Amino acid sequence: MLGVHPGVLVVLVLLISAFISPVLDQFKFKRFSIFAIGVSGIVFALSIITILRVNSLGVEYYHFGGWTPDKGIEFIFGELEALMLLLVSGMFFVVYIYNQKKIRAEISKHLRGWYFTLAFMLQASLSGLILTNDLFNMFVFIEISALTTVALISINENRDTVFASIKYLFLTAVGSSSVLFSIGLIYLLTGYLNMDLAGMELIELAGMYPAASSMAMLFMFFGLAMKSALFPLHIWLPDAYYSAPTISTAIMAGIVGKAYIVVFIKVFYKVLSINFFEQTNLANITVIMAGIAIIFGSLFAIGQTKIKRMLAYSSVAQIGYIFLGIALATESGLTGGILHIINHSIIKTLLFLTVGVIIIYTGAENIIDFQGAGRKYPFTMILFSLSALAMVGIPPLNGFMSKWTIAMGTLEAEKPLYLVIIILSSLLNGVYYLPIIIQSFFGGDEELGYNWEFKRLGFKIILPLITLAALILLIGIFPSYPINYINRIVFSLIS
Amino acid sequence: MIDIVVHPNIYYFASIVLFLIGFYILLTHPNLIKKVIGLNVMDSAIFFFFVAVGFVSDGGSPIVEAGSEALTVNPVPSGLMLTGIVVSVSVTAFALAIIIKVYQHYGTINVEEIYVVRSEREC
Repeated sequence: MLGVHPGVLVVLVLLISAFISPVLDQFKFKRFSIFAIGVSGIVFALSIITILRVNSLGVEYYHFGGWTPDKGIEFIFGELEALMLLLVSGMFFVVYIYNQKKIRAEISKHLRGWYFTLAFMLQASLSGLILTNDLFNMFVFIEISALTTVALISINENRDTVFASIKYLFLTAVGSSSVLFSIGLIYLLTGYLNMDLAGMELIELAGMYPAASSMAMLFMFFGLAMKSALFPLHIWLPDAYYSAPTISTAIMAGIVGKAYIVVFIKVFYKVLSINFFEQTNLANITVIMAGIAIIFGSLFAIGQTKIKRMLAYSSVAQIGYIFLGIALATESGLTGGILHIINHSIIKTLLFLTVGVIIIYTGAENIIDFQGAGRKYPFTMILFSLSALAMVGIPPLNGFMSKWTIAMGTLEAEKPLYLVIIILSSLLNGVYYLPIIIQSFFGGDEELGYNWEFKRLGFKIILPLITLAALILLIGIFPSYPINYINRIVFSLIS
Repeated sequence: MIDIVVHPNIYYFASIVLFLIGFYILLTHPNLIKKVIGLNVMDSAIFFFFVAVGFVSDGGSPIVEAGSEALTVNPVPSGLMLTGIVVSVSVTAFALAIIIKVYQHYGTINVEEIYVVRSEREC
């Protein structure tokens, strides 16, 4: 197609649409939901083409403006990038379909054109973040996604959102500055901004300049851990997830953090790997931090009274699982970590979308209000229960497969303590998810019969929910296909 | 005349000190505007650092003519920092805009007082 790789078009189409939507708004354009579905559908199709092309042609590079990689910006289309691009564009597609009239009512009318500007720019920056192979370009995409995320939180202006967004803005800005400082140190040492070239130089230079390269790694670690909310740096997350409108929360919980984790994998396995795994003890410290995140995220979640806050703390625990898998750096651990990125993205999006239906249609924000919700909204609550069980890790759902693989990784790394932590955390997950399920179906007024809500919700809300639920079941029952694919990624990363 | 000889790494050292000062302000001051100032100090430290990375002593401006072998400074880090400054300005502008909204909703820009207001409302 014009000699341009379809993956590059993803970012281009999204950026152009981002700037078209406020113009359309000026001309009293009403059908933004259809516009958004159309654009994200095109992008989804382009990402499918990308992954098919990677499967048949192998790793490809795209050089912007024809500059050589030591000078210009480079996009890489490898297996990890194609898979994550598919995840991001698929999730956005699903969320846009869900974004129907009643749901949109959370956002005031005159802002809807601008809302899609922000959402498209966020998607463009996340796609770019995943695809880029250039450190400074990565920083620019990180900043775009940070600013658009803050704007998506604060789009409904009220006391909670302004506070959550200023908190997130400061913490994320510290994270970006640390990443930029680290990029400066890497450039000072190697003279390259390209990840592959800088990584190759650093293999030798890390031994010659251990202090400078370790400092680069430390700043990079701090910045990316702040942005992906690894446990002690998660403090922005519950406020942000709680106060944002449902769709923003679904996007943030399902996708935004994951893109930073992909960057984490790329940087720490390709550029700073020697420092991270051999020279310093940071990989082991990350494992410990992840273990603490898994336990404390679950413990904090038990104490919450608001459902969205509880899901947010549950996210903190699940991010701990992902980091545990990544930092173990064994074959199964990394496979499980990458699989858990995908699984957590699907499960958490479904959880927030189903909870969003209940919150918007009944106004129930507290966990207590969910009593009897299973009778009024049985279909929604069945899907909520399915995803909650997947999050706990009940076989044959997809959460079980990734937790199992990470658990195998802990044994490969000879750290059986973390196996205990994983099992303990699954029990804790059960402690806060199961009462909601039981209360919603069997609590409350027992006289009420089941009242199916298909007509009230409409086809366009039901379709994305069923799609995500089907994915949970499919990945859980047939895990071999994604695991084989991820094994190829892991093989290229570890060797 | 006394020639003051500076160690070539003094710029890196100075920028790291400046970075830490900015970080300290950001962490410890409860006033949101001062936090923005701290953030800007941090960002400026990084800009100094990058420019120092590209600096070559006795180097001229990087306009290379064919055949000339004059020593020039590395233009890439300075060029990158133009982008960095733009990013920093937009973050600052956005932060200040949100701080105005915080003031409208809470009547204060002191973080500790905001926490008091929030906890009072929940009770």
